[in-house]
Amino acid sequence: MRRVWAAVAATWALLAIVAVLAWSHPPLQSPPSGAAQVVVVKGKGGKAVLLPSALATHTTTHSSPPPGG
Amino acid sequence: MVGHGVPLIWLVARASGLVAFGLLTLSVWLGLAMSTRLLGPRRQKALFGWHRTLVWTALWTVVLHAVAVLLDPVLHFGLPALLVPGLAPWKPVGVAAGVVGGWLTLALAASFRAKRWMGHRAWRLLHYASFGAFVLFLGHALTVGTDLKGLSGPVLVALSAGPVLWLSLARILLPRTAPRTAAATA
Repeated sequence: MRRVWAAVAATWALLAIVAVLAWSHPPLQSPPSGAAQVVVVKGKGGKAVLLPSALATHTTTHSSPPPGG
Repeated sequence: MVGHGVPLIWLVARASGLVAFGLLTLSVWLGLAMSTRLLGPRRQKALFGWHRTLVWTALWTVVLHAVAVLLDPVLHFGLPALLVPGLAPWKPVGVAAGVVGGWLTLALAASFRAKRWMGHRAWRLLHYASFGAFVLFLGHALTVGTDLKGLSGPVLVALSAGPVLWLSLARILLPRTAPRTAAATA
């Protein structure tokens, strides 16, 4: 009976920690919707130009991939 | 995948490692408390049963931890890396501490069953290896554990090793047998 109690307690502890780890894992950071976003494009003469992302929806530049993604 | 795209097997690997360390810590505390007889002489048999059960449960949790690490698609750990110290492709010293601690735990758990065969004195000497296993697991958790960065590492050390240190000092400094009563000695 003692072994059963120990196994049950260990299993519950394991499940609880799995749940906490899954819940507390920070999601991949995406920019907040309200924040100003810019896209860097190369302008004339190779100069970098910052454009608001709302105006740059048709540019062919790629944004950097998210960390780890 | 669960939560925010974290593989379930990776969560199981981390959680089983933490549970195994918790069970082993409880077992060490209980063993030292029995040794010092701080919990009273009457409960020794029941406490010894729990001590043994905790070690075996911890061992199975260590096995689960190793299997989860083996199955994790990112770590790329092979079976030799989990069985032989120093063969791990990632943080070999820290992983080796866990591997050696695991083998020591297996020896300690098996020694409960081999106590009659090996004798009380040899069993007791082997039991001192539990201190080594505890230190190795603590080092493994601090160096390899991804959930013990920052403040949580020192907190784990204080919570787990503090009572071990205190009970060890009590074990060394306190007399082994209860003092006889005045009536008995008179």
